[in-house]
Amino acid sequence: MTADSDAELVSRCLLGESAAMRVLVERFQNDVFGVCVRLLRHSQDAEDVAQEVFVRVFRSLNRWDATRQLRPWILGITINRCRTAMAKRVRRPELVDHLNETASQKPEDDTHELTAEIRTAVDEMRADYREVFVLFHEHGQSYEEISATIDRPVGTIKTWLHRARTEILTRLKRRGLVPPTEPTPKKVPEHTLPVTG
Amino acid sequence: MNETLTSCEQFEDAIHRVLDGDLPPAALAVPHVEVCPTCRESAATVVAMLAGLQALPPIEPPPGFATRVLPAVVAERRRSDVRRSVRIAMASLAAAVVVAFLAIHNRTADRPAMVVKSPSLPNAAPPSVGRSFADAGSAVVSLTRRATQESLSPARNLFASLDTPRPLPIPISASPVVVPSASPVQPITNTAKRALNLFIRDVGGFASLPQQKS
Repeated sequence: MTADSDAELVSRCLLGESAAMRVLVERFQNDVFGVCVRLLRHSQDAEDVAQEVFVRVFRSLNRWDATRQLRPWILGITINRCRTAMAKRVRRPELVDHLNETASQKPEDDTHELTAEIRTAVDEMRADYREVFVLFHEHGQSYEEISATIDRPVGTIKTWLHRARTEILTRLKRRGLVPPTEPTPKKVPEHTLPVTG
Repeated sequence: MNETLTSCEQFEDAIHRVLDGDLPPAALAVPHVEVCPTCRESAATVVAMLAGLQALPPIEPPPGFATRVLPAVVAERRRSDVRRSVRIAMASLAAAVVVAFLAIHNRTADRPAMVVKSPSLPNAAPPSVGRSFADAGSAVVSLTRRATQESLSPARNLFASLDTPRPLPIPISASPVVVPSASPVQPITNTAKRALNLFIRDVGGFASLPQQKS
């Protein structure tokens, strides 16, 4: 989706066209809801926060800089709302048990042990590492886009992403989920084969 | 050894490029991994992680998400409009209060300036509580004076209408004639007579009554 079409869509939304508003929601709902689920680890919370994200998006749409891409801007709002929701969770300890319970049930839906382990590793990651990892590997954002999304330098993004990857790779190795790595047998010249018998 | 270390560094760089998506995972199948078990394990782990990430099921919002979101957006927009109207009203009210305050302040600030400019007036004394009470008392007196006059004027008109020519009160002669003493204290009997005479004088109607001889 080009930036021009995003700008045109935003212009129509600012004019109050409900059809354009629906198009905008449908265009970005996968990204917004996906990030919310990954960061909040709770589908109901994710839906509530995603709805709040779009409310905020339409409220602030007149402040969007049309020279920049719309997607990182919306994902930036998403990240901020998720952080706020996670901070509220800290103040509501009674919800944590339910969340942990729900989060622990999520990987059971996945049949593949590897994907379940990756999900668990991402869930247990530090929040800022998780944000960067999810945005890069699950939503295909570039370093520059992530930098614009979470308002951090590109160097910081690279560092966090490297650490996040290292955590997952280490976990996969520790859990023995890496296939055995035996070197491929080299072809031995026939004249060097030992003579038996 | 040196060649192996350089190859490990190059392989590490290749791993990062694969993880960044700049190179395909197949780029890790290089001869170096045949001789370096560490890099071989790293390559296998990276390939496994990328395969696991690709196998993650896509996360999709629940059905009807957009349909549920739009009414919330519209409701929020209405609330926002109301909040904006309230903010504008409050700002206007605050501006009006500020303007009124400034106007009053300027007016009161101008008065001392005029007094100071006047050369004939002496230096203004600092305000005192007693002087303020005195001013307030004189103001109350001036206010009540008018009301009092308005209330008493009908009575005065009544007495004016009764102020017709009438005979002078006849002095009541007592026999024997009592020589008034020089003392300001008069006998009670004389006082009563005088009071009666004053009453008869003021009320003219009683003047025509026959005088009683004492």
